[in-house]
Amino acid sequence: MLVYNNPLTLDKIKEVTGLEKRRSRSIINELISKYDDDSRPFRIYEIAGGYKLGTKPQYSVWVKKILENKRKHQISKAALETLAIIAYNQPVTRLEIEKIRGVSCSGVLFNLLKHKFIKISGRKKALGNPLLYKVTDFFLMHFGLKKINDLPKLSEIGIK
Amino acid sequence: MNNKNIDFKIRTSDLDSYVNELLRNIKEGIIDIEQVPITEIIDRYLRYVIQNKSTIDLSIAGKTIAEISLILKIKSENLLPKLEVKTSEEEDGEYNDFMISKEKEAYLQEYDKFQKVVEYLKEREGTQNNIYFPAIENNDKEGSVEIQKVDLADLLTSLEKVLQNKKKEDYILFKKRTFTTASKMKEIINLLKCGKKGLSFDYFMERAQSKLEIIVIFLALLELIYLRKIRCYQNKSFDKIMFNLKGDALKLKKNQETIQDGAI
Repeated sequence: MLVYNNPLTLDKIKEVTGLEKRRSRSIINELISKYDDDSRPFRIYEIAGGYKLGTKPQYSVWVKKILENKRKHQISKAALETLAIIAYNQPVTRLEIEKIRGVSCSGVLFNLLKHKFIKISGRKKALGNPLLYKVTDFFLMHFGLKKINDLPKLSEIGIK
Repeated sequence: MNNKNIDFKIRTSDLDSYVNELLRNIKEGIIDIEQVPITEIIDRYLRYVIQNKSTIDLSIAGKTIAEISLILKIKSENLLPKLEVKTSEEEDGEYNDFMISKEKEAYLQEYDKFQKVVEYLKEREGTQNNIYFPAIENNDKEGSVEIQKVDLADLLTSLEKVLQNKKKEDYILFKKRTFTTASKMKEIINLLKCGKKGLSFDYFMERAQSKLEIIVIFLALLELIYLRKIRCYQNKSFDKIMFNLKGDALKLKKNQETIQDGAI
């Protein structure tokens, strides 16, 4: 977990250690509760379908100082809107996004692709075979989600 | 007797004309019907008829009455609330406007929904901003670089060379086209699954029977690169342009190899 760039999945653990998924999960859960309880500045986060070590939020003040206030990715409102539409409707075409937003999204999509928040998942079998977009694991990591289904249902955030 | 009717002239403060002239002017819109004192005209005409009843020709008097009645009809119709009769086209237009506004409303509602999702995502982003993960030098080029040391210009130059080297066809044989970009994409994936070290650009081009096929193969290669199914690279400068599988296609290949190994 310390050296692996992506969230460590149970499959990857099995591939490396040969441990059964169930066993790995129970060990990781033990570690999670152990790190949560003591005064260590880090804990294990279940994120983007895997596990990753990260600092605890209460230590962010010092971490920010070490990193000289280097800010993480700040996503614009337009990009957030586009991401929200993709996440709830994926796979989705540019035209479908633009229909909801009412403005052109080419630039926003290009930037989201560039920063790996979204990926091309294929082409729609429709006139002109438009490209389909999906959110990536990086998106899940950025917003601290375990999987895409962890996004709340629209009714849960007060939408009828 | 005709003169008797012609003698009847409407004289008010605003009008000075015969009945038939008045009707014509009203129809042509010269005189505003609102300004015509119809009851006064009827009263005067009735008095005129009574005064001249012994000499008046009833058929001509009747004609004037008909004209006055017409003026009366026009005036009463003018007083009624106007009923707009719409053509089917206008109705269609209105229906479409209604549907468009409904559609817009639906989209606005949909847009508003996502505003709440945006707020939710912002909130999550704020929380996540206080969590830091170890920064590791990113050596994982998966998903980020499709073309290594090769750009589109190199590919186009290679295509141009292949097309130039292709012998000019003296005659064109009309054949049913049996390939499409999609079929070529499948073919390329299958070929790359067999070629362990990757296959060169020339290898694909040599398989083509015609210029059209060359172009279709080229398009299929570009599409596969765009969809991140294959990787395009050069081992050193001026070396052959090579292709191999990546991403999902590679996983599929690994799975197949595992199955084959198991079978052996």
